[in-house]
Amino acid sequence: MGTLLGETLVLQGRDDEAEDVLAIVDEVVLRDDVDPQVRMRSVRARILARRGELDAAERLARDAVALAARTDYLVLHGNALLALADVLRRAGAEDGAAAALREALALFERKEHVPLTERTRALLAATPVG
Amino acid sequence: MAVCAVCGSENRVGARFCDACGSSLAAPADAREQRKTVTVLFCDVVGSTALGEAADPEALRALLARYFERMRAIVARHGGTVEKFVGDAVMAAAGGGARGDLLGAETRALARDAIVVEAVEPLELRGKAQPVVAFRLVTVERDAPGLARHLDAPIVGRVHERRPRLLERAFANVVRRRTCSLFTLLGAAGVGKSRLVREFQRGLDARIVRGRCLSYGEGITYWPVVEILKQLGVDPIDRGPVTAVLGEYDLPTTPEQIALAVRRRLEAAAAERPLVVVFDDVHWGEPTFLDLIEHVADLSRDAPILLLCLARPELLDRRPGWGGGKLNATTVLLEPLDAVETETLIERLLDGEQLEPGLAERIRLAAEGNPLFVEEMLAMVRESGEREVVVPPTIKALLAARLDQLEPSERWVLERGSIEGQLFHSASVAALATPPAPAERQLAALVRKELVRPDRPQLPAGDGYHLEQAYRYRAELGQADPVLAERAAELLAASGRTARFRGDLRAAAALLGRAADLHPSRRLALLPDLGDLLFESGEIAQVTAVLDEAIAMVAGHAGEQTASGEAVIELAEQAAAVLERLGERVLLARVLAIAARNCFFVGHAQRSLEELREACELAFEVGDLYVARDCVLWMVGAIVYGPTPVGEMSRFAFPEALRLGVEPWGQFHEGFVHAGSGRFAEARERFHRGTAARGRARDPRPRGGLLDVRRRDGVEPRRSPRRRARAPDRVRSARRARRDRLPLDDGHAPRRDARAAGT
Repeated sequence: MGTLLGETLVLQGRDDEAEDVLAIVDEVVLRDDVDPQVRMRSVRARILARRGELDAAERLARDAVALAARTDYLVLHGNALLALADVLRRAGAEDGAAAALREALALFERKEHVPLTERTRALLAATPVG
Repeated sequence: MAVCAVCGSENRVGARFCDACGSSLAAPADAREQRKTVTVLFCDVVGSTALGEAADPEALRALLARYFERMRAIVARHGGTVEKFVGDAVMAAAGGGARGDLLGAETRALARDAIVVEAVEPLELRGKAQPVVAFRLVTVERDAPGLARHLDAPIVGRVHERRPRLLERAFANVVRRRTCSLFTLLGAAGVGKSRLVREFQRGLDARIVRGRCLSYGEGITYWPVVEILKQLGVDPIDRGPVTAVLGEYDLPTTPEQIALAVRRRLEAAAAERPLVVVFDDVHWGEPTFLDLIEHVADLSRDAPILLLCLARPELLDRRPGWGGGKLNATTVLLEPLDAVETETLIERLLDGEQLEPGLAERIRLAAEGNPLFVEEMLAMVRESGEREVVVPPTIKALLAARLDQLEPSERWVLERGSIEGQLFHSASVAALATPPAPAERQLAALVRKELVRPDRPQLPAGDGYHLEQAYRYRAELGQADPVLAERAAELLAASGRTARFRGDLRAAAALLGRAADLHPSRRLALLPDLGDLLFESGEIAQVTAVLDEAIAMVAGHAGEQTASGEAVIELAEQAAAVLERLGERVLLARVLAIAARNCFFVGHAQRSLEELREACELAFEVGDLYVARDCVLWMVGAIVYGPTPVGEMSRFAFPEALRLGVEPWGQFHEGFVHAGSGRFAEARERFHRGTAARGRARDPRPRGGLLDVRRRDGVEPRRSPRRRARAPDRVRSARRARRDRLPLDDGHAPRRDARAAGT
């Protein structure tokens, strides 16, 4: 629940509050409870990217994607790819961002998740490809 | 050496059958330790050494053989068995009573009205720290009761029996119609049967004769008849069956001839004056004697005879149809005195004497409405000057004799009930059996025998509280019983699961915690559930402590990091394989659910869904609806998170799951479906409904499920009349739910087929 709150806060640009929440989550979350582990990494990656710490952000975002890829949680995996795309886009790696978005799109389509599919398509359309 | 339980003969080691009488020497299958009051007789020949020196060896041997044979017969006549012969000494044991040269204080008290004794110097005995008070037996008064009842004591209560004057009316009927009537007065020992009859006899215009049945001895079948006939007198020139019964004339007779002759003698006596024949202790009557009474009652004509039989309720066990089917038969059960009547009796017996404050009340409580017990306890207090209520030896012996006469299974029920205390619950008795088994038949017999009285349950049956208390009480006495602890823990845990299902999480956590405390070997099995419950209750600090303990127990040492989800899955699957082989389906369902939940945690949603479905089906089959419900909750998560497309999610429905109390999750599931389809307004609506349903979580919504769970726990649910009328529908629903399994399953398989077919 805490990681969901963190995600929501980050999407609203309230990064400091999101970090406070994540600090609490970090203390109670189980090491192999994959859902919060992926979300925490993704949220932190977004925050770091906004602060300009792009290398650390990309490491965390890829870590989240790798963790999610070991699961069959389609939405979780797709969301981790969206976070990676966001980090890569901020780092100027538009191609990488587009690739991540395409991969996310495939997952959301497989899940038949209409809003996420539409949102990802929109993000992909807005991402210049080199 | 094996001693035959039937004839007392000694047999060689390893013998399977008695060499003397052929009886099996094997211990009975249900042989268990139990306390019994016995008399041990030890006697030898006075001056045997001198006799041995003086007598010829062959003559001495023949003399001792006759002596042993005579002793064996005497012991047998008194209901005893010879344990062994040692030299010229005989050691024998009998189930009750006591005779001998030297008597202890208790034996003297038991036989005080039938014996004359003289005090001897207190005896220094091995195993006794203090000298033992003893008396030398001088004479025994033949035929005198060991304990004469104080029938002159004031009669108290018996309003029902006395005011309508049932006995008087029966007698008046007998006289008016010149007919025979059988009146049976049933009641526990000491409850006042004899006292009531004495009251009835007072001023009665009738000839009254009495006979008493004996519990043991030779020739006891017609003993009460002999007593009656002696009082009535017999024609000196009679050479028929009556004199044969009296042993005055040796004539081959049959029971039918004797019954006919006795009836005619009674009719002859009644022709002169109405006759009341009182038979006491009829519960000890031999079948032939009981047949004789019924013969007289059935066939006697034109003779005013009242056959008044006094018996303990056990008579109906020996002769269930006693008095049944006869228009001229009446049976009355004499109940114990109530509290007010007992107080009145105590006041009258004290006759103005003052007791220690509170002592009279303690006697009232201890006597439980039995006038004899009141009399004896008061006498004991007066004699000894004790300030506390002490159970007199007379009552101890009486109660011990009654317990000794119980069927082994009835005695077992009584012993197990006493573990819980004076007030015990049938569910506790059933739980203490190995394996647990109902004891309703034995309890009914004990109620009939007035050894147990039904009461209203103080707590819902089967909740384990009573056994828990009993265990802790015994543990304080240094008699901790692990079987008792295990049963109590099982019942507490079952009650905890019911409370959890009901939505009362705090009560459930408390019950599970007590179960875990009670039985260390079950603790580990209970801790994970306890952790879950505490988590659901929001007691996070306690969750950590409980789970840390569980992990430490598993790992063998404290401080170990949490086991990984994958490790738990592997362990659970190994356990599942073992449980499947053992057929332990209840545990198997739980273990499969654990494996499935951990699959979900580590990210295998589809595998989790499949295992949850399997666990859920099994949980339904074995009636563990809590686990079934838990599985449904996790299935929602696995469907939402996993690869199941949103379009297929909407086909999952939870109508039966709603009956399991998962309405909030059913609503959330639908909310996810709408959200995933972009229908946000509908999604919000569903989430609102789910949230509202969670707020009603304490509403015992899953009626059918709850009914089923309670039934499986052996608890008959309490229902209002209105609900009772609807009950069959709910039960049918619960059955249907089990039969059809979850619609999740029915809905899913065809869709998988459809996917495989490319549709």
